[in-house]
Formats: sequence, C-alpha cells, structure tokens
Amino acid sequence: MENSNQKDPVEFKVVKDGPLHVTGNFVLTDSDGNLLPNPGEVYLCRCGKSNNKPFCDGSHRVK
Amino acid sequence: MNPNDREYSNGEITVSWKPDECIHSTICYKKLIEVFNPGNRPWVNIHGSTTEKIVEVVKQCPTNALTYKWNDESRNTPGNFKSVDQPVAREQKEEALVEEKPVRIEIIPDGPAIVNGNFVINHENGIKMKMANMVSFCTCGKSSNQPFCDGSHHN
Repeated sequence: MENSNQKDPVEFKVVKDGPLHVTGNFVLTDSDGNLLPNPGEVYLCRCGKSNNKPFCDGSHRVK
Repeated sequence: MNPNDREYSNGEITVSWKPDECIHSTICYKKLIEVFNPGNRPWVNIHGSTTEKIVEVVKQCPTNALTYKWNDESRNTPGNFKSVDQPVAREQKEEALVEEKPVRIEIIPDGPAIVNGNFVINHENGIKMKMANMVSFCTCGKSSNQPFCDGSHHN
C-alpha cells in the first residue's frame, strides 16, 4: 500500500478538448527556473484561451 | 536521411539537425542564440560562436535533434561526440533525467510546458499513453501532435 505523496508517480491526464490535469509530486517553474506557487494539483491550459495561464479557467468551452 | 535534416560544419565539427526529433525544449536558443536562432533561415549559424560553446549546447539538447561529430574522425572517441549512431548518448541523458526529482514543469511564455522527470501520461478515458522523462506539452491549442508541442505556436 503506497499512499504517500512522495511515492505517487506524477500523472498528466489529458482531458479531451480540455486541460491537462497534473497530480503527484511536481514543481512548477517559469522559463528562468524560478519556482511558481504550486497548489499540489493543477489543471494546465491546453487551448491558449485561458485568462489565468498557465492554468485552465474554463475558457475552452467558450465558442 | 530525412529530407528535412540538415548539417552545418565550421571546419572543425559538423552539427546535425533532425527536426523530427525536436521536442522544442528551447535549451539551444536560450543558451546560444548567436548560433541557434529560430527566427533566421537557416536557423543555425555555425560560425556564430566557438566550437567549444556549440558542443556544450548540443550536448544539452535532450533529444538527438542536435548532434555533432568532429570532422577529424580520430577525435570521435566515446563520450567526445554525440551521434544518433551512438545510442549511449541518449541513455545517459535519460538516466540523468530520471535522477532529477521531483518532476519539474517549466512554463515557457507563449510556448510549451516542458516536463522533466519520471511521470506518466494518461488519457481521461483511462488509456495509458506513455511513460516519459521529458516532453513538451502544447499550451496554445495549435499543435497537430496533441497533446505535445510541435512548434506551431510560432506560426
């Protein structure tokens, strides 16, 4: 029974026509390597429409 | 050889470029824009810097999109060149990446999300897509190779 966060493999779940759901032990950085706040579980925008990049804000549903 | 592949020589080394292998890590042009400038055609200016600096950056390419060999064949000793004919180069690179923990997600402005480490990619319907050590995820919606970046954000 492995339930610790450290051992959980990082999973990127691709949501069809939606974001990238990321769970597990990961860090987010900008392009200079500076750490960004990491809420532990994120939905990354995949459509380019989000006003809250790099996170999804549901804008992909807007036609 | 793929018709899109290119070779650039400065007389001392020959750098090979295989666009199909590129995952747009952006390492090459961020480290050495004088040589690797995606805005120029050709995008590689092999005379833009020293052999030493070019070798250093080509070695950091996480795939075999960029490789190099010495024109003087006798200098192509193991570890002293990077070639697709020498799979050890890639294996060493992957081992190095596996040690890097936790998984790091680098957000490139107007570019992809580059992921390094040990992770799995699954589809929401439960289909396991792949295990990987380094990928670039498309964040602009334009890639023809979803969910991965194919460089289309430049268009």
